[in-house]
Amino acid sequence: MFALLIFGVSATFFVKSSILHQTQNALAMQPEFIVQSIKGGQTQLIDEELIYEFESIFGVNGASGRVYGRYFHPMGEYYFWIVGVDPFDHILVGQIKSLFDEIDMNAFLNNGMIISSGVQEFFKQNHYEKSYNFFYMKEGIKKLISLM
Amino acid sequence: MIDPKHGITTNDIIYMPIHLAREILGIEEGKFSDIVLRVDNDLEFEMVEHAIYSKYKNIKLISKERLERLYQNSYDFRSGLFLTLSILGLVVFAFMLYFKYSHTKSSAKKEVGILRALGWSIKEVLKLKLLESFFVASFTFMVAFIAAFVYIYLFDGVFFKDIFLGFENIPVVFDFTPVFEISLFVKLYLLFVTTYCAAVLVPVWRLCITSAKEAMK
Repeated sequence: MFALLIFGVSATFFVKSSILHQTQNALAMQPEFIVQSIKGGQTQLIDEELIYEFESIFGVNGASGRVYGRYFHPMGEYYFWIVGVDPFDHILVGQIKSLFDEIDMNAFLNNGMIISSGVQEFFKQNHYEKSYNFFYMKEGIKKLISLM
Repeated sequence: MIDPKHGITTNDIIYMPIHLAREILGIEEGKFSDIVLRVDNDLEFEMVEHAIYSKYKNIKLISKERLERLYQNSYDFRSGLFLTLSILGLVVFAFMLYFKYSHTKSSAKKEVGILRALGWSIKEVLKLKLLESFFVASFTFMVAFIAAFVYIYLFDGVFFKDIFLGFENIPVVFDFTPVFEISLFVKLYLLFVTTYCAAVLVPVWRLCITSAKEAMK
């Protein structure tokens, strides 16, 4: 029982230290500030004009807008985080390049998507090995090819 | 695919061209989910924060430091649940060990009685028991600590990962980055070994101050 307790506590600390270390590495690549628009306590979409206004503030070396959001898989309670990549956004492109050893940017910009290992496992379990159909917010379906 | 070594923060992410992301998420041109600011000089953080808050209302500014704190709190909460259970287990174990020596018919009690009857002083008996419990606890600690390290970092914490991180969303697939902190080793060693030794020595001392005849009954 004594050994089991030490094992459990040590394992918990190892997991925590490892995750924290990975999170700190991921955050090291992030810019210093995130600006969100709040209305009635809720996060709203933010206007593009504000990017130029923020860039003119003394001390700010660069500003860029991000497009992301949670996408729920239609047949269940599962969701993914969709992150839009602007090829001219040097900060995000830099982050992506650091995450992948090789990436075909042309294939990516032409209906391609880069998926995480968790998403890949989910696609594999649900027979979406090569592509996945996303439903547009307004109407229609978009098929995106997984880049391996 | 994003390499699993990048950790849990990228587990459920899909990167796609921005125009497709806009269509899928219903975000029109000229609008963004948020804006990120790059401030290279640490000394200017406060100034930038002040400039934004004084000029703009309905704006929330999240610093990288705050984000890190939020993640840390989330992991502290999860590990806290496990640690609370473990500490409860440790207390129960210490009591079990204590009662092993206090129990009227226990062999441990007889052993102390025999040593006292042979003429060992209280100091000598305590020294023997301290050494004995110290070696037993240290050896067990080393074995269990190394086993936990191997289980988490070599076998990727199978099952434990799911229990710790939950499985309410898509599968959690990522590799743990081995991190060894000497301070963690020292803290856990002191906690467990001291508790073990104390749980043995206190009842042994109580036995030593009773008569050898009484202890061997």
